[in-house]
Amino acid sequence: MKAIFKRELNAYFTSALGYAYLFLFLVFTGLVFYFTSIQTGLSSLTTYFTVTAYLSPLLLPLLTVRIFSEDRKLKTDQLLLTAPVSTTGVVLGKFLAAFAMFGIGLAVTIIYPLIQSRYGAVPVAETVCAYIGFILFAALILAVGAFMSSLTENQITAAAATYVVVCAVIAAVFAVNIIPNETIVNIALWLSPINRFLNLLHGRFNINDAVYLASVAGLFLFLTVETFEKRRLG
Amino acid sequence: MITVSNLTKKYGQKTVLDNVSFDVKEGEIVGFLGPNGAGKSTAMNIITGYISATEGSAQIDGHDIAKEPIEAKKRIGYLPEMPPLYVDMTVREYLEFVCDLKKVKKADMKAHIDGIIETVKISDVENRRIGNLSKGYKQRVGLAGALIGDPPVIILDEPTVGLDPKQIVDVRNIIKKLGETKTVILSSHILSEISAVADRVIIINRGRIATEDTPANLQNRLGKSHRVQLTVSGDRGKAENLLKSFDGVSNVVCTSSNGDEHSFEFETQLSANDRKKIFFAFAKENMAIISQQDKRLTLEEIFLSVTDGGGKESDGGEGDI
Repeated sequence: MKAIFKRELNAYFTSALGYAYLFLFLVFTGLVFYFTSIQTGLSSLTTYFTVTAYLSPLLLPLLTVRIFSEDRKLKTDQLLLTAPVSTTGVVLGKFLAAFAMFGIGLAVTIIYPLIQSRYGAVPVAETVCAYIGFILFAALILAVGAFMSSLTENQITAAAATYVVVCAVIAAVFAVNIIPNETIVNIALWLSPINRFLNLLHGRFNINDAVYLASVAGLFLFLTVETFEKRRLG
Repeated sequence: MITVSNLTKKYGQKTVLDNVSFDVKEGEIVGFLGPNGAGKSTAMNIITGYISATEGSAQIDGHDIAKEPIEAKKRIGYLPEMPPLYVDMTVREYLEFVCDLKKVKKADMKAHIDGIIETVKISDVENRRIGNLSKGYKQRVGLAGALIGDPPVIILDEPTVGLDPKQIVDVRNIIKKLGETKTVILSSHILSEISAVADRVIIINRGRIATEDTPANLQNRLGKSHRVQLTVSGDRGKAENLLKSFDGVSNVVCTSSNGDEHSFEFETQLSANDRKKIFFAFAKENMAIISQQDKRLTLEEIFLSVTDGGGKESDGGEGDI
């Protein structure tokens, strides 16, 4: 697993993909921070987190589209799946590399609350809670992306399928306004990770929400492993 | 070292491998021979754990690939038909990655990689990106990858496909050398490659083992009926009739004529002693035999005779020949 993690993380930097992701992520979060905090003079980071929350999932599939689909195309999956490594090890190694890339970008954004703290009191607990939410939500999106990438050797298909899921997840929060039936709305909101993510993002820590996000991420990783096992059976 | 029992692989209704069983002893080089689509790669993919069998089992050094995949895979170095290379890495980076995958100790890694680079002769490209290498080098880097971790079993799927003649000889020599210390299975649809290196040949056709033996035994077993080429000086019709008059001579064909020299090919079950009679019969007719030579069945002909209409035969295949 460690070998695969190391190779995958390196691969982000030998291709343009890793740099492109980091560039877009940092420019994007930087601009949002500038317009929601510096320009408005607000001391709260709530708006910054909310805008970033809705839009950064659109960048995350960049990290996962190729992780499995490219292996199938180049037949390097034959190396990984015949090496003395478990399928779970292969999946986790690749997932964690994508997750680490997200982590690198996120670590840089810690600079924003630090800047903010010079001009006013930043609520530490709420900010930490928001970061935990961000990390769990990203894990979920990356797990979905990894799963989609494992289904196809076409990167475009993998990306499109991931975006469909991401958009459906985000759209669920707006469903309230469109769907007239209250029961359906409640079920959709309960199922959709976005509300749980927003709870954390707004500093309302609830262990159920955190467990839910982590579980869904775990479920998709499990499905990815199962996809490999099923393909092995032919 | 390798025990394959009743291996069957089905994709939906299609049976790609049908009840295949064989053993490979330690230190043996075994060649899988068969036309494209015969099931060679499928068999190798199952033995190496890339895909699983519908029925049957494969054991490597006593470890079942389905039940103890990690233990079994530790003992195998596999070069698939298309070398599984990361084109964005340099040769050395790639081999270091494979070392990590196969858990080669950090301290031994450099010496180990150096040794393998030396064996497969890729030292001049070790710092180049794999994506920029020629087909021959890529093949050798793939082979180097299979050797990492010093596994006792090496499985090579069409290791010389797409290489130029010099590269083929190089790779063949590497395989021969590997066979001195390791158990090797290689596949090919190129017959000379198998007969050049393998101790034993398993001919696979339409998912079944058509026959198996040493290259020499195969030729002896299947070549009971000799083809003889005979060149004679004199009248063509007379010579042909004379040949046909012998019992045990059949399928007489005149292959070429040059002036009054005519070459014939025929099949005969006559022993070498009996064939002296042919000589004296021609001498009596005052026709000189310029040359007479045995044409043994080549592995290629054996291959074709075993695989032609292969669907009909059950397991032996000899009856068809």
